[in-house]
Amino acid sequence: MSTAADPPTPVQAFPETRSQWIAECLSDGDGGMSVANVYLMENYLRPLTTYCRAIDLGKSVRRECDELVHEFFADRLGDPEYLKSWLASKLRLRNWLRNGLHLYVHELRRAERAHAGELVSHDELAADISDQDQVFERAWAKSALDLAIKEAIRRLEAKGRRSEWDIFWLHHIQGLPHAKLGEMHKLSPAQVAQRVFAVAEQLRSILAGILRRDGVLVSEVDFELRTMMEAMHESRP
Amino acid sequence: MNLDHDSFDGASEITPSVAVRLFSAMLGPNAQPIDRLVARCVAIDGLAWSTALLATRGPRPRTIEGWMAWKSLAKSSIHEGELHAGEQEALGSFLCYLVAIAGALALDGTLITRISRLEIRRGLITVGGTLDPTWRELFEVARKRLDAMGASSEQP
Repeated sequence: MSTAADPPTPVQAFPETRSQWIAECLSDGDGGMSVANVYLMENYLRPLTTYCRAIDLGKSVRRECDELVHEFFADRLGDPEYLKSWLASKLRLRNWLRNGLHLYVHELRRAERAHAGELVSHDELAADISDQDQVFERAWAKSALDLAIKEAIRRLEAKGRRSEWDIFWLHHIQGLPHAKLGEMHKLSPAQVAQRVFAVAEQLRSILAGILRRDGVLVSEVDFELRTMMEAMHESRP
Repeated sequence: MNLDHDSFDGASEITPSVAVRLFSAMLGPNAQPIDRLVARCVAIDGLAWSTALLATRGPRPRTIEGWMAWKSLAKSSIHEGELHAGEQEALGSFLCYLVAIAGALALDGTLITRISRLEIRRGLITVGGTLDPTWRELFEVARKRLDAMGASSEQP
């Protein structure tokens, strides 16, 4: 039986409902919340920090981006209601956290300006967020893919099948045909094709697991993969 | 480390072109023609392939009729089965087809296809970004035209 403390598992382990894993974590009290928070830090610290650097978000509050994102997590994740609010929001978790980071910066600015007797408008906050969608989506896509790759390699290495990753990589990234790879690894072209397909499926399954926890439905995974692909190319306005 | 040439060890950052190829691999049989075309264009020899292919089509048309002729020629060479299987020749024709749509849009904002604007936009962005600078610029102008049309059609 699956428990909230289980490590991330492939998408097949999840029913077609949003955010169940994090909901289960939260229902497990402090221990579960801690598991969910560790997961959030592992999966969202990097894209948020990359995003923060890309738009120089820390500058307005005179903080380094790593420091700012850590502060944000410390401030928000200690509150048991924070992730519950996300569950009710229907937003993707990444967008919830990104909006939350902007709001946190807004609060810091407001506190500083209030101290100086100035005002900060909500329009300013909305403009900050909407201008930077693609920057964040690109950072998120790269980070999630990177995590999925590392996990796929780890699983294959654990089974003593690291060479299958290399075959997959040589085929899809270097463009080596199945026959050539078969000669290199003493396999038939059909066996190479089977291994390449299996690794692609495993990578997809791991990435889908990450996306599921972000709030993506199983039926939306292909769409999400295309959106991530597009984010890699999106030209700037 | 050049990630386009070495096996990835999970310790280095992936490049956008590698990421695109991996997303396409993960889509597998569910990849659409546009996904397969993008993956072909970002392959190691993708830029050389698309540049050479488009160079064989002669000078760029300067009229809408000229772009429509490009489109018709490209369309006549596209066989759906081959396109879905990712056959290189079919992908080449599909690229020319997309270029014709981009060319007409860039010229004066004419849409010479009934494909949805959303799909066209996606093609312009994902494929356009992989082409050489002159074609990329054409796709960029086309995308801006398309976005302007979208914005104006949303006016009350």
